[in-house]
Amino acid sequence: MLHYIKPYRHYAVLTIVFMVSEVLIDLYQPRLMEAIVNEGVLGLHHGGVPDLSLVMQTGLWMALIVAIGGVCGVMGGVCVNFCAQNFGNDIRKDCFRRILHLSMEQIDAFRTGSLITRITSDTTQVQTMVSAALRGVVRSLTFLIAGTAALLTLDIHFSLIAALAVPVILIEVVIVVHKSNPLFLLVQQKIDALNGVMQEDIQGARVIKGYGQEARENERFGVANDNLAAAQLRVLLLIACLLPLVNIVMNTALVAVIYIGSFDVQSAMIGPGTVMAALTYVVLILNGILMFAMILQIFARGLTSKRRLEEVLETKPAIRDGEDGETDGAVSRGRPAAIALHHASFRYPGQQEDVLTDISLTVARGETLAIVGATGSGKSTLLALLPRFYDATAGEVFVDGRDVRTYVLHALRGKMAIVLQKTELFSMTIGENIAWGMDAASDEEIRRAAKIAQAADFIERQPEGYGTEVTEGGTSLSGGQRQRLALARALIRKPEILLLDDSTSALDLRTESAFYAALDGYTRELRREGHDLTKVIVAQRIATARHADRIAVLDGGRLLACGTHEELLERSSIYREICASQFRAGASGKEKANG
Amino acid sequence: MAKKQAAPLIGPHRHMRAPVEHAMDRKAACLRLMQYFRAERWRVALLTLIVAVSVAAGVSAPVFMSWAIDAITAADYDKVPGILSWMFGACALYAVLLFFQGRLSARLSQSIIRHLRKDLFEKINGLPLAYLDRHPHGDLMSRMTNDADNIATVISTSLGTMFAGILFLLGTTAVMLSFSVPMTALTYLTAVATVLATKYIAAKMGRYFRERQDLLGQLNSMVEEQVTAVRTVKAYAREAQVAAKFVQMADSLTKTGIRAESIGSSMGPIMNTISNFSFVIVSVFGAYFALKGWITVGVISAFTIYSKQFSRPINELAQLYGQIETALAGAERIFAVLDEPGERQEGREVPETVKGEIEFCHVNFSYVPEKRVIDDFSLKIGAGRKIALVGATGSGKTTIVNLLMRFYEIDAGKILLDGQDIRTYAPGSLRKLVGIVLQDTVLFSDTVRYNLAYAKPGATMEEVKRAAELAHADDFIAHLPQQYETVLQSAGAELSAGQRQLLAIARACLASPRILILDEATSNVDTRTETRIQDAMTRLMHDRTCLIIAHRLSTIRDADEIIVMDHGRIVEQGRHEDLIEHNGPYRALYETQFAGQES
Repeated sequence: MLHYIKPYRHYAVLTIVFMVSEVLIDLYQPRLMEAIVNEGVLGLHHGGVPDLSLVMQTGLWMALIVAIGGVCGVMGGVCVNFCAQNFGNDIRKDCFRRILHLSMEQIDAFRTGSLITRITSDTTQVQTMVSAALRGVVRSLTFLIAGTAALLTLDIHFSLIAALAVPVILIEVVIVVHKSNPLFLLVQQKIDALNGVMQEDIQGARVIKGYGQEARENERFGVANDNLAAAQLRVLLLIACLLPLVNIVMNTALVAVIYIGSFDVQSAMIGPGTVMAALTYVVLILNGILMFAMILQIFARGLTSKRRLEEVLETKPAIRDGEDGETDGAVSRGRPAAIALHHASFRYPGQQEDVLTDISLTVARGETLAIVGATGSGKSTLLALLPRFYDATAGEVFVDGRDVRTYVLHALRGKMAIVLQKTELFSMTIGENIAWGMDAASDEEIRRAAKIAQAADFIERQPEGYGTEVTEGGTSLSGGQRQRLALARALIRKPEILLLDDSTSALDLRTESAFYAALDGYTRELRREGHDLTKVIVAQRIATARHADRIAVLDGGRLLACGTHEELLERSSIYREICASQFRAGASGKEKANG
Repeated sequence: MAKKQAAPLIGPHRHMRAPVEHAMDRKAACLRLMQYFRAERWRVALLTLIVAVSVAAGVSAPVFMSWAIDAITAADYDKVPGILSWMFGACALYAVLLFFQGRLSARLSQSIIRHLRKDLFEKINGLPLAYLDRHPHGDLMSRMTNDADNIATVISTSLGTMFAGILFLLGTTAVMLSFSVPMTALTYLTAVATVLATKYIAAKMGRYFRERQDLLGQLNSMVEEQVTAVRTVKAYAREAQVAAKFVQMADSLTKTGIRAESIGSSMGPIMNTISNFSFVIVSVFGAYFALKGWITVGVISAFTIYSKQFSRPINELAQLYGQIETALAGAERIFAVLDEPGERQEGREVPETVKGEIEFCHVNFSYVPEKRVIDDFSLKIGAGRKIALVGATGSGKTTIVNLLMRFYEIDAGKILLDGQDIRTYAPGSLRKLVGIVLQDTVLFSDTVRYNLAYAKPGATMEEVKRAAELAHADDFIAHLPQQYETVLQSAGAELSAGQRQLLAIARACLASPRILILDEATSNVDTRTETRIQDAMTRLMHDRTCLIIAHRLSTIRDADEIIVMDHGRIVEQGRHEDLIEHNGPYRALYETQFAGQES
């Protein structure tokens, strides 16, 4: 992670220079005061004659360097911020870019919530760590080292005191920090637990009220609340030990300084002013140690964040661009099929069972294929293999005659438009949402896509039409309306392949059939322009599937049968079963008449 | 009352959800917070006592120190050990009291914050659904976490420090005055300078910090949105564009951040400089006064220490000021929620012998005053009957459920249960009667068994298993790592949509309510499984009133009566066969099922 500081190393160096200067100036002052008292007031080296001009001179000199010290301090602050914030920013940006390029598996492994925390809160912690390091460590170390040296030059006896006091305080600090770190982690966990209950209960308000379980939820929260309070208390109680302990050591040292100092003054080794200076130095040194302790804590938290960020930054995307490889000659004879799966299997990492087993399937250009099957039969997973959201664990997947792994990802996904099962829209206007997948889309194109998706009507009825904001959580739009926006977003791209994963589930039958009619019309129009639109539709309802050229039946991850509706009725018992469950006995007469 | 500034709808700040609050009435918030202290008044009293004594000890230490220096200067070396032992005693006392002070404030703060959180949570739980639907959840959560935390921090650390600081200043001033009035005046000069500097810097800082908070909020929203929707981003291969937008936002945040933090971090050095100047002034003027014989050398020493010690509490108070402001703002936000009227819980208990006959009489309802969602809705559902509600999305079906459950109150008309207006019943009692399975399944992060037995916490394993079997959920539960004891880590997000719905249905089965409402419950489950569930439901539905809301005709074909809704009104009703013959809106819906897409 250090390499991120490289571009800003000049600022880092400047910070250190300014900090050290500021501290040294701070440390120099007691000496000047010593001079004022010893020489100016008491006139120790002038036979007891005070020297007012010396006092004034020294005073002016002190004022000057105090001003310089202030400037150094402020400049140091500016430099450290330039360094740390840019450092943090670079990491944040890289993290975000990296996450976008990870494969689905990798994102699932990290979990969305954790990824978000890493970009937002962990980068802030690391940033704070760097800024604290540059500022605090430099200051506290300088105080310690220079302060001790200054003390030594005053009077060797004082160094004894320092030699005793400093280690004692260091030990105290280290012990407290060491004990408090695991407690901090514990508090974090308890906070997560509390937030968890809170979030679930706000979201699940209907269920809680519906089942009248408010009292129980209050209890559940009460437990989490008590746990958190107890954990936080433990931390606070521990920290409450630190300051008094440090205080005692510090004050003992001060007493010792005066005591020993009195002897040394008695024997005329030093003057009273020296004792005063020594007192100041001792306080400075011990404050430096305290500062160091705070920084240790920031470091502890920062290092955890650093690790978490490195986990993301060092993960290479599992699914990467392919080099434009050789096309498979056998498949590319003539016009290649739009999509072909060749003994493709897939299982999630770490799972024992295949989700898809030995699927071999071809979809010709311009063809519409429907996929039906029970919940968990692998329909969505099959679809996910096409844009390489996941890579097949066995077998091959071809698009336009080429193994999908040979494509540059951008190019592969650019051929397709996918409408997922769960609609994801963004906080922008309806028009912007529809045009989101393209660099630039004219209003004309947006309206056209909306019209085909059967969304134009409700959009125009919105308060600001296409300019209406889509809010987070989509409380302003119903499930069906959101799905239609997603459909429009897919269509506006004029894709070569359209993948619909149960994307009309929230639409009522009338709207759905109107959509497919419009889609058909659009497909015909595209064909006239020489542009073939291949469609793969995952469907729950046979009525939807019937519209396709062919239907593939999946069960338990295997392809059971593939053919037209009529062929399947004849050949596949499972298909018949599905149909029967959707059509009534009374209507089957009508259905037989059609079939 | 806090004045709220609504987030603008357009422009760069539109992503900001939480309203910006300018606390107009800090005093009121402060007073209310004091109420929470009342419960802890013994601790507060003890804390006050301890702080007062510790400050006395702390103030006296430099006095002894200056006497010691004076003794040394005057070559009265024998007096030194005596003075030192007094000094040591004062310091030791101070340290001991500091220890107890820390512990006491810790307990005090945690106790108060625990109380506050509990009150807030119980309030949120008791708020009417309308409030929760209208207010962004993230903002509510933030009040529980950020705002409460700020208050806790202030109480545990800042309060003691502030009180001690004020006492310290007073005590120190008294001692300083006793030593030398002119020197005290000089020291106060720097104090004034410090305060002025703080105010100036704080004002400048404030602006940039707020700006930074805004941008941070926007950035966080963007991160959350894009990472959650990463599938869509990858599907449309928009990684580069999204990243570019992020880079832009991150860079502008950094720029503002640098400005804000630079000003912020200049506070320390500037305070330090002022305190150093005071050191200079004390040294020089002290020397001058000493030369004139107005004060002793020891007094210079005392004042150098005092001047340095003086600046510390002033700095701390200055910083505290900001913290306290934030905490009070947070307290206001929390009190704003606490002041919301809760859901009214009065009413009779629904009698055990209730049959489950529902009647809607000319019901009108709208979420938003101008748009009526339910219009003159009248419907009678006999006890134990199965009624299906169909219609286009947005025709008002889900709203009917909200009204029956009294999640929202009707505008006009009435709803009767066994002939009694449901508004006479306590909402809690009414809802226990009705079991609902919603469109978006909500589960809790706990074991499968906990979730299934949610309505009846004391249910036996037998009952849980039976309910699971009825809903055909037993199959997949058996395949889970710990079966019924498997903990759903992310509230069931690890299960498929269909599996979650099966659990919700099982949960409703176990609740065994008098009235059952299925709101498009099975639309994510394939029709084969759906049939099996419906078989079980039919058994379960015997002798219960059922309301089924779906737009899959296969789901509702078994209904006793079908109600067709359109724009909040009933346009057709009757049995399936009759409606087909009638050739109305129902027929049109039904036809499209079979005619496929050939319309």
